[in-house]
Amino acid sequence: MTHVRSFRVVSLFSFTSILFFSLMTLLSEPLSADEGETIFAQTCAACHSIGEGRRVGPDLKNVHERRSQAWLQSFIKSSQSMVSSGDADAVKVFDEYGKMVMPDMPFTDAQIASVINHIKTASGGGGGTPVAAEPAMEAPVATDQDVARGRDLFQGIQRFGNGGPSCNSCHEASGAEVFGGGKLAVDLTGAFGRLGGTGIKGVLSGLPFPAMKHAYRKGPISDDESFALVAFLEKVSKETVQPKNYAMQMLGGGIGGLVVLFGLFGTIWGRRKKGTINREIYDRQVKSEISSDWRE
Amino acid sequence: MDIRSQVSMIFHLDKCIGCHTCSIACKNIWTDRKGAEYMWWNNVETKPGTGYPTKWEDQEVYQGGWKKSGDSIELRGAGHKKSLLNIFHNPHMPVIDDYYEPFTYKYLDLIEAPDMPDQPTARPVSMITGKPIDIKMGPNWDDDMSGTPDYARKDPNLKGLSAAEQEAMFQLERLAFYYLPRICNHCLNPACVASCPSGAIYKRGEDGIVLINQNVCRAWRMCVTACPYKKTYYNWSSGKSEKCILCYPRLEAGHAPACMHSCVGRIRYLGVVLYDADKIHEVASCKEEDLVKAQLDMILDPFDPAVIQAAKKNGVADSTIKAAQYSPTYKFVKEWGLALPLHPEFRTLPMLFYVPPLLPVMASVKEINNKDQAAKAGPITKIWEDQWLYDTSTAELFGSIEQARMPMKYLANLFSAGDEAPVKDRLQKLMAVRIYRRWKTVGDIDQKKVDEVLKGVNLTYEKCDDIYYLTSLAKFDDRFVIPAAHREHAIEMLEFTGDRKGSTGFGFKENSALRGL
Repeated sequence: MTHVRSFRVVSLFSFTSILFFSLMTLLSEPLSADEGETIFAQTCAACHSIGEGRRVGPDLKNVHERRSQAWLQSFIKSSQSMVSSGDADAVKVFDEYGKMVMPDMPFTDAQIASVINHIKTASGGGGGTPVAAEPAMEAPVATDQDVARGRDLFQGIQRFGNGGPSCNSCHEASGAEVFGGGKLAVDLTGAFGRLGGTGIKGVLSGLPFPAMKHAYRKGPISDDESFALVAFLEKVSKETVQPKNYAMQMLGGGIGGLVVLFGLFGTIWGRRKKGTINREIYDRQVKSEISSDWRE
Repeated sequence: MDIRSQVSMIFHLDKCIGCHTCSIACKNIWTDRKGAEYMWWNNVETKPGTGYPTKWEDQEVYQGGWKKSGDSIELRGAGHKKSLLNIFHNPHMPVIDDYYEPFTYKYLDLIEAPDMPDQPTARPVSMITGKPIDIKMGPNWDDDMSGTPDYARKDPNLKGLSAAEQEAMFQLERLAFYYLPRICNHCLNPACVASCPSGAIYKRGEDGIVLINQNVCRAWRMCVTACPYKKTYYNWSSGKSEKCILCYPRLEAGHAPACMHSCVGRIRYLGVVLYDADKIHEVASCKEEDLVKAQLDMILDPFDPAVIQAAKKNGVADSTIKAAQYSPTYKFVKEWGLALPLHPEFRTLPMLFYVPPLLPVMASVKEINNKDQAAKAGPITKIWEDQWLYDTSTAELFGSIEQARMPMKYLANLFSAGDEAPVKDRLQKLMAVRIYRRWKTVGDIDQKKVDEVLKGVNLTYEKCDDIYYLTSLAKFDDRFVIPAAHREHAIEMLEFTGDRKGSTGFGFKENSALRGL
């Protein structure tokens, strides 16, 4: 009985101490750059590069020199809360990149620190400015067949090889020869203009958005499929003229139309008989007081 | 020729004393019902005045009657096209405030009020809401030119009179008025019939009385707008329109209509005229200046053999033709040419004719010398300092017509679409008869002068005697020559008399369920 009990005490002690030390390790120093590299490749690389120019988001080369560690930590954790709190740098970045929301990352502080560490390492310390913003040209040139395939994939006429859902389940690309589309996610008509080919490719492979990540976790989009989709979205983006915003014109036209309409009514029916022609006489007449003791 | 008979009326305005007995007789018989409180199938107006409903003559307001359209005519405010364009909206209808809010008094309070320091009074209550009201208007609110300039000065018939002429009419010493009793005109070209979308209004074939079938009426109220005389009324309780029925149940029994029977001044005459129905469209569409003459020309001579033959061929009963020969209407309108239709410019060809009133003469003020007269006066006699005389004598025979206080144009606006000549002709004839009678009874007029006057207006002694007789001495049967109704003819057209006999008379109109059995 005592033997068993002492064993339990020892094992509990050793477990606690292991937990304590590992926690100490976690808190005291960042995890290895290796883990940071993995996380970067899996999550960040969809939208960001290090020294390869801007994609969806900015090139992160030497970002640790431009921003403080604390700023980076909190921005990666929740970029939108920083934007809404009015942080000038955060708002500037958000506006510069087309108000594209960077999703909140469910990483620990240590993991984020390791990612920043990885960026430090990968930046190599040299050269302050990031590489020119233009992404490298796609090696293969998209053909009409690629565009057509991309359209079919987008609409779900042709299924993705790994069984992922078609794009128009959630997205729309108006203006192209696409019939309808979902309204659950953003309109992709101008996606190519916003993100560029690399950006779209990055999104499709990296799946930075939680809903997309969930949808394509089991059936990722293959490279040639994403190439076709990019070709299609490029065509859509170039051929579609973004509709102008007519809201103010509509309001102005409405008010103007109303004035014209009422003016017309006034001219056509203004001389119509309205009420009694005795109005003038009635209005002049004095009203008698009906006393309270009046018996109905 | 399509000869038909029409019951036609004469109202002799010189004889109307404005007592409203006709209105009350009509009200008691026909419109003392729920929904009909505000209706006055017969009403008496003071002219100049705005009438009932207010300004009914102003078709700019009410859009009633016909207007000339090319060679034809069209309804001013109704019709298929206008109805469709307005999606059946009918905006020109008079509203209850254009008539008046009908009222009565709480008479029972006079005898049932508890003992109080003050005398009980019968307070007015609305017949629509049942609540006490301030009476704002009545069907004869401007009676005897009472009220304010709101009434007489707003008479639509003042149109075409210069501002000075209008002003002169309302000078205290020239002020004059007369009465205009009105009922449905039972027109030959009724706008109400033409406007009814349900086809509920019809003109009776045998006597031309215009009636509204209460089973067919669907409350469109187009007739209320279309009638330029505003003599169809909407019953808010039954949801049907109603109008003067010329007391046809009384006529069929040989009685005069209630308003005519009760008339104190005996101004009303009723008789049959024969007219050519083929000419209705042509006459209603003719030029405005020809309207009066054309309408009177439609009425045919009942003694003309060709007319009698055509009438018989058309199914007009012998008794009706005989009644037409004795008709006082025919005499006044055609034989003597004394009567005119009211507002012929509405183009409905009204079959109620008015003998225009001989207008009060305009007096002049003459300077005289009263000194001799004053000298004769005793010590307590009132001596007038004024040195003038209010003089109504005229040098000319028809001078008094020229010097009438009311402009001739005003009467012409009422009775001859603005043409003064027909009105003047009628007034001269009336005056001629008076001059003739003065020569006969008083004898202070030279016979030569009388002959001259009668020659001028194409009258003879005999005709003057006839006019005098029918104007002043006429008995009941002279004033109302009512033809037999000949209902048997109408019944024969609808059903076999053998079936009819034995199936009418004693019994119930409603079936047993409706009688609660």
